[in-house]
Amino acid sequence: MAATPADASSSSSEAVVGGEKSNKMITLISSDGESFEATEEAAKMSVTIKHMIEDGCADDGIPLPNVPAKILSMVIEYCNKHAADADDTNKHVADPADADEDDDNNNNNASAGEKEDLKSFDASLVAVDQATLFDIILAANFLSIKGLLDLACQKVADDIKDKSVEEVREIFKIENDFTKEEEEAVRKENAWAFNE
Amino acid sequence: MRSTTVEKKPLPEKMLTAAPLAQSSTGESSTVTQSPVESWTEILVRLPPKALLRCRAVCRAWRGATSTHDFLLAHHARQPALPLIYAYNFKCDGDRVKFLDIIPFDHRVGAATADRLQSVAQIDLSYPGMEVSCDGLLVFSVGENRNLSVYNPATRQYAPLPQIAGFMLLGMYPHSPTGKYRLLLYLSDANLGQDGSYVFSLGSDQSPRYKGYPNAFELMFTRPILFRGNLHWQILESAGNMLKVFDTTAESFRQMRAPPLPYPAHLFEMDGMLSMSSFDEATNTTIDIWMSQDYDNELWALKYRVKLPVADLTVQFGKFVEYWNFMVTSRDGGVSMLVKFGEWLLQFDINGKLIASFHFRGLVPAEHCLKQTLVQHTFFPMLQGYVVNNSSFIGC
Repeated sequence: MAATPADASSSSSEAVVGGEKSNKMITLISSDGESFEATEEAAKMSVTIKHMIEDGCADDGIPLPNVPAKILSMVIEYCNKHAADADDTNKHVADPADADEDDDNNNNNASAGEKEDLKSFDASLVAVDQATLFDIILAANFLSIKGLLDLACQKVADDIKDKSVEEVREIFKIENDFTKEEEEAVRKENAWAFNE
Repeated sequence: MRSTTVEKKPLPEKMLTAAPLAQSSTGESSTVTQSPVESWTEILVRLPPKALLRCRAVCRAWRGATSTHDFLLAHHARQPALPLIYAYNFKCDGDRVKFLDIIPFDHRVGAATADRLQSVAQIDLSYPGMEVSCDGLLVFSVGENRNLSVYNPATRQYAPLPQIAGFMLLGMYPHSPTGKYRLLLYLSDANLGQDGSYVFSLGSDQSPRYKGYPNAFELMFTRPILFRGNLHWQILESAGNMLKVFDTTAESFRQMRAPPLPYPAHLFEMDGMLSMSSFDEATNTTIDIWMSQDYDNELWALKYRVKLPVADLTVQFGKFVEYWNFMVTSRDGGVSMLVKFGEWLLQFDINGKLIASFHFRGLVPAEHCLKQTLVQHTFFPMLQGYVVNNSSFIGC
């Protein structure tokens, strides 16, 4: 289910389908006033939101003043995808003792396809510029979505791991506050890390 | 727009704060320069060791954040335990091995070959010796006198271990009651003491302590695996398939049941379970992988059978003689097998499909793993002859 920006004035507190808890929709409101809908199941991937739902604070929609619309929609996309995956983890795995020799190697394949699909989804979600990545990190941190925080932080780490010190400073606009002697000392400590 | 304030959750203690940068006003999209530095610790802890050492030179805040003991422990915990491969380098005039490259093998297919086979140490192996490894530390013997030394490839700290000259390495482990790294040794030299097993604490000035077990030489032929605080070796035992087990807390030996696999089989950890693997004895074309589903009750189950087209691979790559010379590696739920055919090291997935090949005459899977660490171990500076090398070459 994709996140759709709903009319800001519409009420979201009614359950869409009676009975099944997982079909209840939650409204999330970005810092710039846009409303997004997500299933309760997906929304609960955020521990912050999960607590608010359980505390009964979510009925009129949850305002997220720290999360702009552009980022919130990406966050919801992530939660939808991973909540659906969590559903499918109870898979039937063939017992290797039962299968005959020809099937053995194929049975080993059980959920490899789904894993690949999720991996490529994650990769394309974070294939964005540094500024957007940082916004995702801030949002994931604030919303307590461990998987997304992990994913985004790892992406930044992967982006900078082969960069020089100067390049890293440039990317993040960090000022070099070392004295000349201090910087020399740090570089000397593990000189090979800078030269090789 | 409602102006309800939502309480920002407190950051976990391990995230360090440093000088904050300019804050953006609430609601605006923040840019990189306005991100709180706390997030950077989460990023820095995910860098590989060499990149992390470089990032210490970016600014004071980063140097501080990446140098605390807690941060380095967290960083070490995240490092993958990469299986080691040896690259025996040959002199151009013949077959004699000149030096040994120690390479942690990067599991991920698709990464550049150069990245996947990056050497962390070159050891002068004019007289090849034995090695053990634990966490990010390597202990090995170098030179004609088989001098033993300890080395951390991530920090390039190195120290000789003269107190254990003459002993042979059986295994290495963290001794939890004392927090020290210890070596399990074997002695067969009447001049130095009784035959049998000994334990020695790194950084200690006490001689190795005798632990009995005169037949401990039977553990010298395979590398042990540390699992749940115990070292395990496969042994040839007339009573059946057994593993010798050394409890690293009590520092005592016992035995446990092993699956019916020929000797020597490969011991490793997969999906959090102790596992064993070997080619089937009858045809040498199928790799059987057993897992200890119930470790405490010593119950094993055959989990995978991977059939390899050995005849075709032999034609394409070369002779497959060392059916014991392979390893299974498991990471992020993906399982690979590394098998040597001729002058090639081939990587297969769990379906027996060839997914990568490395052409290098002397590539041989080792039997242990390296989980790199930048933690500053207290024993290093205590050892006489301690140095931090600038190159990764270790000669004698």
